[in-house]
Amino acid sequence: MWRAMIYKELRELFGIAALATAALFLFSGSEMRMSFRPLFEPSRSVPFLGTVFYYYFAMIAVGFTVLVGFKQTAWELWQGTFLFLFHRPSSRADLIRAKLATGLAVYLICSAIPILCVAIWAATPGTHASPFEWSMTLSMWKLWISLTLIYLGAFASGLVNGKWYGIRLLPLATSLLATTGVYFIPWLWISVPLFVFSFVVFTVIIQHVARTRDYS
Amino acid sequence: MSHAIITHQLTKYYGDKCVVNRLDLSIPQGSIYGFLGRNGAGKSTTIKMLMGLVHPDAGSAELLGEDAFSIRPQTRAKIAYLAEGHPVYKWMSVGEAVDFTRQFYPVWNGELIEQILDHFQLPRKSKIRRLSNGQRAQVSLALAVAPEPELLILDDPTLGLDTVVRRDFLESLIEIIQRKGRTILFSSHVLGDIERVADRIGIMVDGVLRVDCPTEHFKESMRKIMIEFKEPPPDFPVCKGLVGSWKVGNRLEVNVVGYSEEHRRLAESLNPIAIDVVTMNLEDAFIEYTRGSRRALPYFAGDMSHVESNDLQGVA
Repeated sequence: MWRAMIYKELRELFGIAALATAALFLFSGSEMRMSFRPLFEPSRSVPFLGTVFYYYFAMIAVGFTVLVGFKQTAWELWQGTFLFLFHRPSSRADLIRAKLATGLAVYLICSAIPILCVAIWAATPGTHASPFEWSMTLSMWKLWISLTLIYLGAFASGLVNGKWYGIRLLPLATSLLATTGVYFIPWLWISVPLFVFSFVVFTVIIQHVARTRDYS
Repeated sequence: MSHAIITHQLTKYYGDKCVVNRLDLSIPQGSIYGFLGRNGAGKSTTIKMLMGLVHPDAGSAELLGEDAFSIRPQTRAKIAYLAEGHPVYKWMSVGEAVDFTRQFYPVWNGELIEQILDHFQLPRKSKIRRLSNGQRAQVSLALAVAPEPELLILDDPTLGLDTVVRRDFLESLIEIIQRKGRTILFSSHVLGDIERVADRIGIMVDGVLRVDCPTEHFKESMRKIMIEFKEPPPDFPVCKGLVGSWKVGNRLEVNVVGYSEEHRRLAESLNPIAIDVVTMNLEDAFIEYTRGSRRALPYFAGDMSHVESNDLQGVA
């Protein structure tokens, strides 16, 4: 079951993942002093200390996670294929787990590669006239991991059955708040438990909604 | 006799509307059950409740002896379900859909699926999104029967198919069904489809199961009584078995289930000039039974004021 599900999800997410990875590489290239005129000028800031890279990474990664989450749920609902999928002889919880695992892996891998590329470039002597320590990348990794909550929020929003868009989008709005909290709270002893708590809550909500909603 | 499907007081509301009303259904193993009803009668909702895809507001359902809402994957593997509209992943090719589905099942008859694909002339490389509705239905059928299910639940499988494709699909279905003593629940609003395959029918009208009997029995028990009068006719008295009555000019048309001498006596008590009792074929019987007060407009409708209806289906 897992092999079939992972293959299916990867095939369905390929387009979004390719597009998002290309966009992330474009901004990473700018951070690595590459020129993409007339789109972008090469960045002149110290790697991982300027705000532009964070800003663009966050913008693209948020879009990426939201699209992945909705594609895995709202799109299946719209196509009616949940009726096909949920009749397969596997538990609904396992099918949702397979979707979540694949979606998370796609986001985490596709968005980690550009960050790693910039970090390796920055760590290579002679590439830029500024200091570099690996610890300077921690903030970026924090942003990277905290955005997984937005993926879970979008996944939940795609599944929630509500009459009003407000109700449907509530999980996504909540995940934006949680992500902001996790990223901006500087104390790890608060942000790490907040992240773990939010992650577990969203996963439980997703499983609950998937089990109890009507697929009519 | 053991039953493949049992429901007890199964009920579902959408908002204030009761779409399935206290449904009690028992389908014996090995039977082919035609589940009929007009669009919106509650057939699809019932089937989705049986499949655990829609949660009932009350009541319970059992499939192959297990509660439909907590059915084990092993039991689910013995149940095939063709959803309305044949939802399959359109980006997949036929071969990919087969390979994807096969990985979920402990039992898979690869020879059978190849035979079916070959019979329908469906190349494995064809993309599902490029197939016609009929071909997609054929792919769905092939995927449904390959795991050798004991129970097939087909939700309007011929919906949207043209006459020729529908005939071909049904003939293939009959052939597949007859190979083993499978239980089939086949929903449709096309009576001809049901007539070909079902040995028993159930008719849903506005969420209520009004008929549950052998197909032949239903056909034989429906009668239309045509009562002619010299002047505008009176109302037909409410009685057991009365489905509905319509006044057309000086004629009163009455549909009854289980026609008996009592119905004839009631007709005679209205002092008509003539009484004619007409038998109906299955399709006419179904139409008369399910359409209630909504009658077709006359083709050259000038004055409709002389046509009145009296829908008394609840009495039947």
